Amino acid sequence: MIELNLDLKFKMKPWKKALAFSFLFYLIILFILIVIITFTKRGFSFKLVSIISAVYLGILTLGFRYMYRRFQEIFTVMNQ
Amino acid sequence: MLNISKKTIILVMIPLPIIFMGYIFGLIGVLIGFAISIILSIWLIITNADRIILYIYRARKAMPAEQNELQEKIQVLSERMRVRIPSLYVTELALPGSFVIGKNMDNTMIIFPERLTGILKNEELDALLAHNIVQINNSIGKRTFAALIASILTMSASAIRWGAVFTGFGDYDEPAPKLFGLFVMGLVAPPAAAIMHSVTDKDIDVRAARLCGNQAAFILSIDQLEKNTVTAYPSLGFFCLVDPQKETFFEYLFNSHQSREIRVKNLIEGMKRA
Repeated sequence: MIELNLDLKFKMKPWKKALAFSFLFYLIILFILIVIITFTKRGFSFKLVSIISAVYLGILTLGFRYMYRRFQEIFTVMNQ
Repeated sequence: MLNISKKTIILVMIPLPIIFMGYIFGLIGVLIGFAISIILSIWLIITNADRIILYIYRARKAMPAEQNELQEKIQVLSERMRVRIPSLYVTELALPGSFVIGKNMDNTMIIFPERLTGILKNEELDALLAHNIVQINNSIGKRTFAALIASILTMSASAIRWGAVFTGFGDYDEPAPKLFGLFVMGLVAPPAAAIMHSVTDKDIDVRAARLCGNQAAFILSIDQLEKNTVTAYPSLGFFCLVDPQKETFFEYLFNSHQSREIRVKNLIEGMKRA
Protein backbone atom coordinates (compact mmCIF):
# COMPACT_ATOMS: atom_id res chain seq x y z
CA MET A 1 0.00 0.00 0.00
CA ILE A 2 1.31 3.42 -0.86
CA GLU A 3 0.76 6.12 1.70
CA LEU A 4 0.94 9.77 0.85
CA ASN A 5 1.70 12.09 3.74
CA LEU A 6 1.14 15.57 2.52
CA ASP A 7 1.96 17.95 5.31
CA LEU A 8 0.52 20.99 3.62
CA LYS A 9 0.17 24.07 5.79
CA PHE A 10 -1.84 26.84 4.24
CA LYS A 11 -1.55 29.89 6.43
CA MET A 12 -3.56 32.88 5.46
CA LYS A 13 -4.82 35.73 7.59
CA PRO A 14 -8.55 35.23 8.36
CA TRP A 15 -9.68 38.36 6.50
CA LYS A 16 -7.70 37.36 3.38
CA LYS A 17 -9.17 33.84 3.54
CA ALA A 18 -12.65 35.40 3.85
CA LEU A 19 -12.10 37.59 0.78
CA ALA A 20 -10.67 34.68 -1.22
CA PHE A 21 -13.63 32.41 -0.48
CA SER A 22 -16.06 35.26 -1.10
CA PHE A 23 -14.50 35.78 -4.56
CA LEU A 24 -14.90 32.06 -5.21
CA PHE A 25 -18.58 32.19 -4.17
CA TYR A 26 -19.20 35.10 -6.54
CA LEU A 27 -17.61 32.99 -9.33
CA ILE A 28 -20.08 30.22 -8.47
CA ILE A 29 -22.88 32.77 -8.94
CA LEU A 30 -21.44 33.56 -12.40
CA PHE A 31 -21.44 29.85 -13.23
CA ILE A 32 -25.09 29.55 -12.16
CA LEU A 33 -25.91 32.62 -14.28
CA ILE A 34 -24.23 31.02 -17.33
CA VAL A 35 -26.17 27.77 -16.78
CA ILE A 36 -29.48 29.72 -16.58
CA ILE A 37 -28.64 31.69 -19.77
CA THR A 38 -27.70 28.47 -21.60
CA PHE A 39 -30.97 26.80 -20.65
CA THR A 40 -33.12 29.84 -21.56
CA LYS A 41 -31.32 30.32 -24.92
CA ARG A 42 -31.58 26.54 -25.56
CA GLY A 43 -27.90 26.46 -26.47
CA PHE A 44 -24.54 27.88 -25.52
CA SER A 45 -24.12 31.35 -26.95
CA PHE A 46 -20.39 32.03 -26.71
CA LYS A 47 -20.68 35.74 -27.59
CA LEU A 48 -23.38 36.51 -25.01
CA VAL A 49 -21.71 34.46 -22.27
CA SER A 50 -18.33 36.15 -22.97
CA ILE A 51 -19.84 39.63 -22.73
CA ILE A 52 -21.68 38.82 -19.48
CA SER A 53 -18.61 37.12 -17.99
CA ALA A 54 -16.31 39.98 -18.98
CA VAL A 55 -18.60 42.63 -17.45
CA TYR A 56 -19.30 40.55 -14.32
CA LEU A 57 -15.63 39.66 -13.76
CA GLY A 58 -14.56 43.26 -14.45
CA ILE A 59 -16.93 44.67 -11.83
CA LEU A 60 -16.10 41.86 -9.41
CA THR A 61 -12.33 42.33 -9.77
CA LEU A 62 -12.56 46.10 -9.29
CA GLY A 63 -14.81 45.65 -6.28
CA PHE A 64 -12.59 43.08 -4.63
CA ARG A 65 -9.48 45.11 -5.41
CA TYR A 66 -10.99 48.10 -3.60
CA MET A 67 -12.11 45.90 -0.67
CA TYR A 68 -8.70 44.18 -0.40
CA ARG A 69 -6.89 47.52 -0.17
CA ARG A 70 -9.44 48.90 2.29
CA PHE A 71 -9.29 45.87 4.60
CA GLN A 72 -5.48 45.78 4.35
CA GLU A 73 -5.35 49.41 5.60
CA ILE A 74 -7.84 48.70 8.39
CA PHE A 75 -6.27 45.49 9.67
CA THR A 76 -2.70 46.81 9.42
CA VAL A 77 -3.62 49.74 11.68
CA MET A 78 -5.62 47.45 13.97
CA ASN A 79 -2.72 45.10 14.56
CA GLN A 80 -0.21 47.84 15.35
CA MET B 1 -54.38 54.30 16.65
CA LEU B 2 -52.22 57.06 15.16
CA ASN B 3 -49.30 54.64 14.67
CA ILE B 4 -51.45 52.10 12.82
CA SER B 5 -52.76 54.81 10.48
CA LYS B 6 -49.20 56.04 9.82
CA LYS B 7 -48.06 52.52 8.87
CA THR B 8 -51.12 52.02 6.68
CA ILE B 9 -50.44 55.30 4.88
CA ILE B 10 -46.82 54.29 4.26
CA LEU B 11 -47.83 50.81 3.00
CA VAL B 12 -50.37 52.36 0.63
CA MET B 13 -47.99 55.11 -0.58
CA ILE B 14 -45.32 52.73 -1.86
CA PRO B 15 -47.27 50.78 -4.55
CA LEU B 16 -49.43 53.80 -5.52
CA PRO B 17 -46.98 55.28 -8.07
CA ILE B 18 -46.80 51.91 -9.90
CA ILE B 19 -50.57 51.57 -10.11
CA PHE B 20 -51.14 55.21 -11.01
CA MET B 21 -48.43 55.43 -13.68
CA GLY B 22 -49.30 52.01 -15.08
CA TYR B 23 -52.96 53.00 -15.44
CA ILE B 24 -52.05 56.15 -17.37
CA PHE B 25 -48.99 55.14 -19.40
CA GLY B 26 -49.17 51.34 -19.64
CA LEU B 27 -46.04 49.15 -19.27
CA ILE B 28 -43.52 52.03 -19.43
CA GLY B 29 -45.58 53.79 -16.76
CA VAL B 30 -45.36 50.70 -14.58
CA LEU B 31 -41.56 50.69 -14.89
CA ILE B 32 -41.34 54.42 -14.10
CA GLY B 33 -43.76 53.92 -11.20
CA PHE B 34 -41.62 51.03 -9.95
CA ALA B 35 -38.52 53.25 -10.03
CA ILE B 36 -40.40 55.98 -8.10
CA SER B 37 -41.54 53.39 -5.52
CA ILE B 38 -37.99 52.18 -5.03
CA ILE B 39 -36.73 55.75 -4.51
CA LEU B 40 -39.60 56.34 -2.05
CA SER B 41 -38.81 53.13 -0.15
CA ILE B 42 -35.11 54.03 0.07
CA TRP B 43 -36.01 57.50 1.37
CA LEU B 44 -38.34 55.95 3.98
CA ILE B 45 -35.62 53.51 5.08
CA ILE B 46 -33.01 56.28 5.39
CA THR B 47 -35.31 58.53 7.43
CA ASN B 48 -36.52 55.70 9.68
CA ALA B 49 -33.29 53.69 10.04
CA ASP B 50 -33.30 54.03 13.83
CA ARG B 51 -36.92 52.79 14.13
CA ILE B 52 -36.18 49.84 11.89
CA ILE B 53 -33.14 48.90 13.99
CA LEU B 54 -35.29 49.02 17.15
CA TYR B 55 -37.71 46.63 15.43
CA ILE B 56 -34.94 44.29 14.21
CA TYR B 57 -33.39 43.99 17.67
CA ARG B 58 -36.79 43.79 19.42
CA ALA B 59 -36.00 46.74 21.66
CA ARG B 60 -38.75 48.35 23.72
CA LYS B 61 -38.63 51.68 25.52
CA ALA B 62 -37.67 51.29 29.18
CA MET B 63 -40.57 52.25 31.48
CA PRO B 64 -39.95 55.25 33.77
CA ALA B 65 -39.54 53.01 36.84
CA GLU B 66 -37.53 50.40 34.95
CA GLN B 67 -33.73 50.39 35.02
CA ASN B 68 -33.65 53.53 37.20
CA GLU B 69 -29.94 53.24 37.92
CA LEU B 70 -29.11 52.96 34.23
CA GLN B 71 -31.25 55.96 33.37
CA GLU B 72 -29.51 58.02 36.08
CA LYS B 73 -26.06 56.96 34.83
CA ILE B 74 -27.02 57.93 31.25
CA GLN B 75 -28.23 61.31 32.49
CA VAL B 76 -25.02 62.03 34.42
CA LEU B 77 -22.76 60.96 31.54
CA SER B 78 -24.77 62.90 28.93
CA GLU B 79 -24.60 66.07 31.04
CA ARG B 80 -20.85 65.60 31.40
CA MET B 81 -20.52 65.09 27.64
CA ARG B 82 -22.91 68.01 26.99
CA VAL B 83 -25.22 66.07 24.69
CA ARG B 84 -28.96 65.56 24.84
CA ILE B 85 -29.90 62.59 27.05
CA PRO B 86 -30.55 59.56 24.82
CA SER B 87 -33.68 57.45 25.44
CA LEU B 88 -33.11 54.03 26.91
CA TYR B 89 -34.43 50.97 25.08
CA VAL B 90 -34.01 47.46 26.47
CA THR B 91 -33.98 44.15 24.68
CA GLU B 92 -34.03 40.54 25.81
CA LEU B 93 -31.90 39.46 22.86
CA ALA B 94 -28.37 38.33 23.73
CA LEU B 95 -26.49 41.11 21.94
CA PRO B 96 -22.69 41.48 22.32
CA GLY B 97 -23.12 44.84 24.06
CA SER B 98 -25.13 48.02 24.26
CA PHE B 99 -25.03 50.54 21.43
CA VAL B 100 -26.33 53.98 20.53
CA ILE B 101 -28.28 54.87 17.39
CA GLY B 102 -30.13 57.95 16.22
CA LYS B 103 -31.17 60.24 13.38
CA ASN B 104 -29.03 63.07 14.68
CA MET B 105 -27.34 64.30 17.87
CA ASP B 106 -30.63 65.48 19.37
CA ASN B 107 -32.55 62.30 18.71
CA THR B 108 -30.57 59.31 20.00
CA MET B 109 -31.38 56.01 21.69
CA ILE B 110 -29.30 53.54 23.65
CA ILE B 111 -30.22 49.89 23.10
CA PHE B 112 -29.29 47.93 26.18
CA PRO B 113 -29.49 44.11 26.37
CA GLU B 114 -30.89 43.10 29.77
CA ARG B 115 -28.32 40.32 30.21
CA LEU B 116 -25.58 42.92 30.83
CA THR B 117 -26.98 44.00 34.22
CA GLY B 118 -26.20 40.49 35.49
CA ILE B 119 -22.67 40.48 34.07
CA LEU B 120 -21.27 43.94 34.81
CA LYS B 121 -20.79 45.72 38.11
CA ASN B 122 -21.76 49.35 38.76
CA GLU B 123 -18.49 51.01 37.62
CA GLU B 124 -18.25 48.67 34.64
CA LEU B 125 -21.76 49.68 33.53
CA ASP B 126 -20.64 53.32 33.81
CA ALA B 127 -17.71 52.56 31.53
CA LEU B 128 -19.94 50.71 29.04
CA LEU B 129 -22.45 53.56 28.89
CA ALA B 130 -19.61 56.09 28.56
CA HIS B 131 -18.42 54.09 25.52
CA ASN B 132 -21.89 54.50 24.01
CA ILE B 133 -22.32 58.18 24.84
CA VAL B 134 -18.97 59.30 23.36
CA GLN B 135 -20.25 57.98 20.02
CA ILE B 136 -23.01 60.63 19.97
CA ASN B 137 -21.77 63.11 17.39
CA ASN B 138 -22.64 64.45 13.95
CA SER B 139 -22.01 61.14 12.24
CA ILE B 140 -24.52 59.16 14.34
CA GLY B 141 -27.13 59.25 11.56
CA LYS B 142 -24.66 57.89 9.01
CA ARG B 143 -23.52 55.17 11.38
CA THR B 144 -27.09 54.17 12.18
CA PHE B 145 -27.86 53.80 8.48
CA ALA B 146 -24.65 51.81 7.91
CA ALA B 147 -25.54 49.54 10.86
CA LEU B 148 -28.99 48.96 9.35
CA ILE B 149 -27.63 48.01 5.93
CA ALA B 150 -24.94 45.76 7.45
CA SER B 151 -27.56 44.11 9.75
CA ILE B 152 -29.95 43.43 6.86
CA LEU B 153 -27.15 41.95 4.73
CA THR B 154 -25.83 39.67 7.48
CA MET B 155 -29.30 38.61 8.58
CA SER B 156 -30.01 37.36 5.07
CA ALA B 157 -27.47 34.58 5.75
CA SER B 158 -29.39 33.59 8.86
CA ALA B 159 -32.68 33.79 6.94
CA ILE B 160 -31.37 31.44 4.23
CA ARG B 161 -30.12 29.04 6.90
CA TRP B 162 -33.57 28.96 8.54
CA GLY B 163 -35.13 28.61 5.08
CA ALA B 164 -32.98 25.51 4.56
CA VAL B 165 -34.21 24.16 7.90
CA PHE B 166 -37.87 24.70 7.02
CA THR B 167 -37.48 23.19 3.54
CA GLY B 168 -36.20 19.95 5.03
CA PHE B 169 -32.41 20.15 4.75
CA GLY B 170 -31.95 19.32 8.43
CA ASP B 171 -31.71 21.03 11.79
CA TYR B 172 -30.20 24.48 12.31
CA ASP B 173 -26.83 23.06 13.40
CA GLU B 174 -26.59 20.40 10.71
CA PRO B 175 -24.09 20.70 7.82
CA ALA B 176 -26.54 21.42 4.97
CA PRO B 177 -28.26 24.52 6.44
CA LYS B 178 -24.87 25.69 7.74
CA LEU B 179 -23.47 25.45 4.21
CA PHE B 180 -26.32 27.50 2.75
CA GLY B 181 -25.82 30.13 5.46
CA LEU B 182 -22.05 30.11 4.90
CA PHE B 183 -22.50 30.60 1.15
CA VAL B 184 -24.77 33.62 1.59
CA MET B 185 -22.51 35.00 4.34
CA GLY B 186 -19.59 34.69 1.92
CA LEU B 187 -21.49 36.81 -0.60
CA VAL B 188 -22.72 39.53 1.79
CA ALA B 189 -19.92 39.77 4.38
CA PRO B 190 -17.31 41.74 2.35
CA PRO B 191 -19.67 44.55 1.19
CA ALA B 192 -21.37 44.68 4.62
CA ALA B 193 -18.02 44.86 6.42
CA ALA B 194 -16.73 47.50 3.96
CA ILE B 195 -19.85 49.64 4.65
CA MET B 196 -19.39 49.21 8.39
CA HIS B 197 -15.68 50.05 8.38
CA SER B 198 -16.33 53.24 6.39
CA VAL B 199 -18.12 54.76 9.39
CA THR B 200 -16.05 53.61 12.37
CA ASP B 201 -14.90 56.26 14.83
CA LYS B 202 -11.39 56.57 16.23
CA ASP B 203 -10.06 56.90 19.80
CA ILE B 204 -13.38 55.90 21.35
CA ASP B 205 -11.69 53.98 24.17
CA VAL B 206 -9.66 56.97 25.38
CA ARG B 207 -12.64 59.34 25.18
CA ALA B 208 -14.88 56.84 26.99
CA ALA B 209 -12.34 56.23 29.76
CA ARG B 210 -11.96 60.01 30.20
CA LEU B 211 -15.74 60.45 30.35
CA CYS B 212 -16.35 57.79 32.99
CA GLY B 213 -13.14 58.78 34.83
CA ASN B 214 -12.23 55.20 35.68
CA GLN B 215 -9.68 53.54 33.38
CA ALA B 216 -9.53 50.35 35.46
CA ALA B 217 -13.32 49.87 35.30
CA PHE B 218 -13.19 50.37 31.53
CA ILE B 219 -10.58 47.62 31.16
CA LEU B 220 -12.56 45.33 33.49
CA SER B 221 -15.73 45.89 31.47
CA ILE B 222 -13.86 44.87 28.29
CA ASP B 223 -12.63 41.71 30.08
CA GLN B 224 -16.09 40.81 31.38
CA LEU B 225 -17.78 41.32 28.02
CA GLU B 226 -15.10 39.28 26.22
CA LYS B 227 -15.58 36.46 28.75
CA ASN B 228 -19.35 36.58 28.28
CA THR B 229 -19.54 37.40 24.60
CA VAL B 230 -22.10 35.86 22.24
CA THR B 231 -22.05 34.44 18.73
CA ALA B 232 -24.19 36.23 16.14
CA TYR B 233 -24.83 39.87 15.23
CA PRO B 234 -21.37 40.40 13.68
CA SER B 235 -22.48 43.75 12.24
CA LEU B 236 -22.88 45.20 15.76
CA GLY B 237 -19.25 44.80 16.74
CA PHE B 238 -18.26 48.30 15.63
CA PHE B 239 -20.98 49.85 17.82
CA CYS B 240 -20.34 47.73 20.92
CA LEU B 241 -17.47 47.62 23.37
CA VAL B 242 -16.28 44.20 22.17
CA ASP B 243 -16.62 42.16 18.99
CA PRO B 244 -18.96 39.16 19.14
CA GLN B 245 -17.57 35.64 18.92
CA LYS B 246 -16.99 34.39 15.42
CA GLU B 247 -18.92 31.46 14.05
CA THR B 248 -17.35 31.51 10.58
CA PHE B 249 -14.10 33.04 9.28
CA PHE B 250 -16.14 35.55 7.23
CA GLU B 251 -16.98 37.31 10.48
CA TYR B 252 -13.31 38.28 10.90
CA LEU B 253 -14.00 40.95 8.28
CA PHE B 254 -16.24 42.68 10.85
CA ASN B 255 -13.47 42.90 13.48
CA SER B 256 -13.59 46.47 14.73
CA HIS B 257 -11.56 46.23 17.90
CA GLN B 258 -7.91 45.51 18.45
CA SER B 259 -6.77 42.71 20.76
CA ARG B 260 -7.17 43.35 24.49
CA GLU B 261 -3.43 43.90 25.01
CA ILE B 262 -3.14 46.51 22.24
CA ARG B 263 -6.33 48.23 23.44
CA VAL B 264 -5.07 48.48 27.03
CA LYS B 265 -1.64 49.75 25.86
CA ASN B 266 -3.25 52.41 23.59
CA LEU B 267 -5.66 53.38 26.37
CA ILE B 268 -2.88 53.89 28.92
CA GLU B 269 -0.81 55.90 26.40
CA GLY B 270 -3.86 57.93 25.41
CA MET B 271 -4.74 58.74 29.01
CA LYS B 272 -1.14 59.85 29.72
CA ARG B 273 -1.28 62.21 26.73
CA ALA B 274 -4.56 63.74 27.99
